[in-house]
Amino acid sequence: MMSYTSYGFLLLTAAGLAVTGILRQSGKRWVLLAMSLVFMAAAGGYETVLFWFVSTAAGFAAALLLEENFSAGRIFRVRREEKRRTSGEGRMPGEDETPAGASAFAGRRKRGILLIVVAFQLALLAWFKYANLPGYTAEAFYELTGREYEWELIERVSLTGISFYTLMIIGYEIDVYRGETKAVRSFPKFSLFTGYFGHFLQGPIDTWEGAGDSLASPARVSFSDVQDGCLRILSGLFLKLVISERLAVMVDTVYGDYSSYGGGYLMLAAVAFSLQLYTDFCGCMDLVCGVSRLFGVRLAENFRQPFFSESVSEFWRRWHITLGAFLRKYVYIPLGGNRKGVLRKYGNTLAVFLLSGLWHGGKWTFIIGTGLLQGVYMIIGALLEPLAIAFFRFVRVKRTAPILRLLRRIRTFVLITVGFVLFRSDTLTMAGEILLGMLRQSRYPEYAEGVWHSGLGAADFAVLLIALTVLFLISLWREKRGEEKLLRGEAIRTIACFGMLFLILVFGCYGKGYDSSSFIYSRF
Amino acid sequence: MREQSERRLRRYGVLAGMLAVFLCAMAVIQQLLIPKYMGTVIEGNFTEEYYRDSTKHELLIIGNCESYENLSPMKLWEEYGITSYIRGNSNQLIPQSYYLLREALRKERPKVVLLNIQAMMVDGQSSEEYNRMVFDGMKWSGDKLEGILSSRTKEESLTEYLFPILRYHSRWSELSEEDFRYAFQEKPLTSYNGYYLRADIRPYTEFPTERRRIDYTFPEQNLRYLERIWQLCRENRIALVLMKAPSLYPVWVPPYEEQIAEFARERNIDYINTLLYTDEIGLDMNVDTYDEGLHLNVYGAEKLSVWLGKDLKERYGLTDFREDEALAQVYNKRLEEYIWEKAEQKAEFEELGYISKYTFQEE
Repeated sequence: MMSYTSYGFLLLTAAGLAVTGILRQSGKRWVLLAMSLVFMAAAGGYETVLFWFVSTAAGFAAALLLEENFSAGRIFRVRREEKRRTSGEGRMPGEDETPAGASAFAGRRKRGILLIVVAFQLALLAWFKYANLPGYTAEAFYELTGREYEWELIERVSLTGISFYTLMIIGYEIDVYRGETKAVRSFPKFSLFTGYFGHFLQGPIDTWEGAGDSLASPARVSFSDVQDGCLRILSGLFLKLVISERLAVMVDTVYGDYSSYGGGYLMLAAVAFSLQLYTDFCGCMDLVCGVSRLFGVRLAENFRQPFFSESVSEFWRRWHITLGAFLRKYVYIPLGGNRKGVLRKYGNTLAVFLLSGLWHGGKWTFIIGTGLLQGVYMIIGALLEPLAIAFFRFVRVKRTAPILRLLRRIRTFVLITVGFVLFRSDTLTMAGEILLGMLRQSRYPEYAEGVWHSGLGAADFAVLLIALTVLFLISLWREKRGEEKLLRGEAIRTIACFGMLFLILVFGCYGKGYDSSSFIYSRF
Repeated sequence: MREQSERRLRRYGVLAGMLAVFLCAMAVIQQLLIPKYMGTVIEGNFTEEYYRDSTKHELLIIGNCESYENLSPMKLWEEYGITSYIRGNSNQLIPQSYYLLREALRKERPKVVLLNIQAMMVDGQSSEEYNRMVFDGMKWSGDKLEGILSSRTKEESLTEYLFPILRYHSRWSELSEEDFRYAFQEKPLTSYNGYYLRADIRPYTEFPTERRRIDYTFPEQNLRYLERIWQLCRENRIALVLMKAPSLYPVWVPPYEEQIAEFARERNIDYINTLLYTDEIGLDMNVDTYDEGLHLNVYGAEKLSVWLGKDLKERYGLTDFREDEALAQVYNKRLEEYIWEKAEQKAEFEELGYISKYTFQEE
């Protein structure tokens, strides 16, 4: 199966770059589309291609209907209309006059079309992704009541990328419905938007406004772009292969035998998983953004130093940014956001996080871990905010004092990590046992090897510590300097590229004995 | 304009310079990280050592461990003046034997190719390590490429053969003194014309009962490659001799015997099942094996070499080169080393009960 860290993908990218190098600028998007289809088929099989095509075709047609508001729904009239307009032919008398009744009817029809296409996309997603949700719910219920029940799994084809392109299509339909985006008239362009290999597997969940144009007409690539792209790719590989895969050893060792560990070891594993998830997901984003850059395509950013967040709400504005933006724009604000009273605001917050958790998968560990629990955190945070303000005013301490900011960051990290314990656990009971186990005395199984009995050898642990320090320092720089480039000189950037490549090739965890080709978020 | 071209020149200059530095660094680190096979497992050197032998051979022996542990080219030289070499490796598959033979025939044209056919029963490679031992030391050519493609396991990638650092990079944390010592220095020979010398003794005991198979037909790929070996020998006017070495395990069951015998009969080639002649050879599995009957030790291998060498010499007219000064110089030097090591191992075994360099020891 092809993934972003496979040799196959490397070959595909190299071939794509070679072909785009000899083609004219306008031919680039065709190369990208061809590459995307190859990647899709190699990563997910023909079922993935088939259902992606169905979703894309439905989304494309629906958008045309939404924009043009056809009475008979014949999309070909759009082109005829356009031709007539460009050739300067006049309209038939009274053609653009719209009676008020017809307008209301058209509005209802548009809403109807939107509902149908959104329902269709969600139904496909639910059919393939949430078939086991009722069973998991029953299991969770039985677990909570102390009884045993095992749901017989419904096996469905696993469609790669469906969670990502479904949201992109839905967002696009709503934008067209609202008139914020014009419907795309070219099916290949729209196909490239939904199926582009760079965001197909793990996002970012791009919008047409954000990435559509960039994909439809990729920019010319300068030497500086090539350097940026390469540095970004290498940064992604560094996060994934040097850090995340080492953390995975620790996490898998402890979580695989969690009942034998206790106290600090479980805490260490929980912290390791938070870092693993970040470096795995962010690494993948760096990689795809870097590759896209080589083709002149700009993708949306998905992370902004999330572990520097001082509150949970800030964290979710810095973590998986495109999912958060989607939910805010298409769920939270339409539900009334914070404009309809406090209770409604809290309700909307919970609804958004419920959907966020549900999006990760039809398991209650996801629904609670990265969903409801986070919403509850935010509500409690909002409720306690006035108290906190009053307290700091009373003790006359500035809330922006560095030590307080650091403490808030640690608090946020701890709260998020608790959510990620659920996220990583197979069942709610397992998550509960791990969280309770952290409060017990530290213990580890006798047979456990490695530093702190985590399965990771001393040399690898040392590399991990150094790499995490480097990551922290770079993140600190980004936090303070924003988008400013860390390495400015052209020569130094070239040297950095080769240096990083060398370090990754030697110290990266890939090949035999590692599962570096699978990314955590590619399962969603 | 001039400034722009200067900038471009500087840009590509830095790029080319860094690329050169990077490639040099990769070459150095790769050399360091590739296993040297100088510890307890020396078999990984055998493929490569063949290229270091400058002489031509009248007898080429190919096959898996049953070939490189059961026949001693040094004894064949000492007794009959036969020049021979074994191109054999651990668990060497029949397709791999074909490609090693094809490669060898570009360098020399022996009179006889002796193929040990125990690997005919082996369906695919069980572990990547065996493939690595066959191919890591092989020079790059179409033979190596086809060999890898014909026998790699599902997990193996051709890219990792092309760039071994991709496979061995994780050895950075386990580098030993021998990795540094032999990274840029020629290793001492570990085999005697491909022969793996073992002078320890571990008598034959009962083997576990083998699971019965429903079908004992040789895998189709092996039959195809055996046919190709025969064709290759025929095209090059080389006599192909099939042999089953006297190893007792895995059991060589009658259906295997029948298939090979039929193959040999149909093509009018010789097939020698030495298991049928153990008394005639004089093998005593209480003293002639170092691993309870799986493989012969040097004492057993010498007995088999004396027995088989006589037959091969008479039947195929192999030349006695002992009077050839140039060859005698090369072979006798190696023979001396062989005799010395045999004596060393014998003395160590008598003293310790094991041979330390082949024994894994706790740190």
